[in-house]
Amino acid sequence: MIEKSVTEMVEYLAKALSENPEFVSIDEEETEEGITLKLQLHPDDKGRIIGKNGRVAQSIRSLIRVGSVKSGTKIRLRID
Amino acid sequence: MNPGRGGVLGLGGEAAEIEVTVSSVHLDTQSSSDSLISESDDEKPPFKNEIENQVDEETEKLAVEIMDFLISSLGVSVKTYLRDENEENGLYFEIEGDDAGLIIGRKGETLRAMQFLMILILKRQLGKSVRITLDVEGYRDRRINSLEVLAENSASKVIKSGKPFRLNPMSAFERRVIHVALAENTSVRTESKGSGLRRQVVIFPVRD
Repeated sequence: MIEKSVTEMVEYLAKALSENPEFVSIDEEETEEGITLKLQLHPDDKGRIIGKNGRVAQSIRSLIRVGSVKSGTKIRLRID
Repeated sequence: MNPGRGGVLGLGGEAAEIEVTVSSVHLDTQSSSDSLISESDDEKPPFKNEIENQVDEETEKLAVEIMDFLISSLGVSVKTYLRDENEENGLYFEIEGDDAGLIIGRKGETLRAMQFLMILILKRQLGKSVRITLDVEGYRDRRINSLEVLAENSASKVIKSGKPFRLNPMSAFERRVIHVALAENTSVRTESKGSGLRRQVVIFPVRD
């Protein structure tokens, strides 16, 4: 399934950009509107994944949008 | 130098002494050419600045891995090629295929996001800055062309009205294209104003 792969991509990006990749976990939550990816991180890594002016998170969301279009499912990212 | 003597049927000849300056030219000299080449490799000039534009194998391998992973997990049907002519200047990926437009995104947004994330991952993983350029079916060239047209048209407007003109916010790369396009135009000057994602080029008239 394509949504599965988008989840894997988000997990990969989060791990590659974290100082504490072992704390990265991701949950898929299906809602009426689509899928919400809930990303959990070590508190110290939150800033790294959000980035200056939110640029890192924004870039990850741009890629997720491509996966959304391909799979026809709305995919949201929530960083906890 | 001794030009050497041919001898007869390869007998009684004298080996030629030659002076070799090793450059990037491929050497076919049989004797000790291997050692000459490796010696010259050790004498690489020091890097001019801190950003390493010379891409090593490790960097290239990781960059290709990241690219393949992103493409396959997004489920887009595109192919990527690493253009090798640009080695001195970082890595240059060309992307083409049915989903090329999707990879570009609105005003190149997705393409920039992908490029940004790749550079960031390489920096975190390898501890160095690598220049990465992504180009989708000549999108970059087309974008440069349209920015140059925009620069010229806006400059004409400024010259006519005598008033400064502010362009839409652009990326550093796009702003640079505008600055370079108008650098030789003495009737206007350009300046980038604002910060972060709102940074935009302003074109000012120059009065003589």
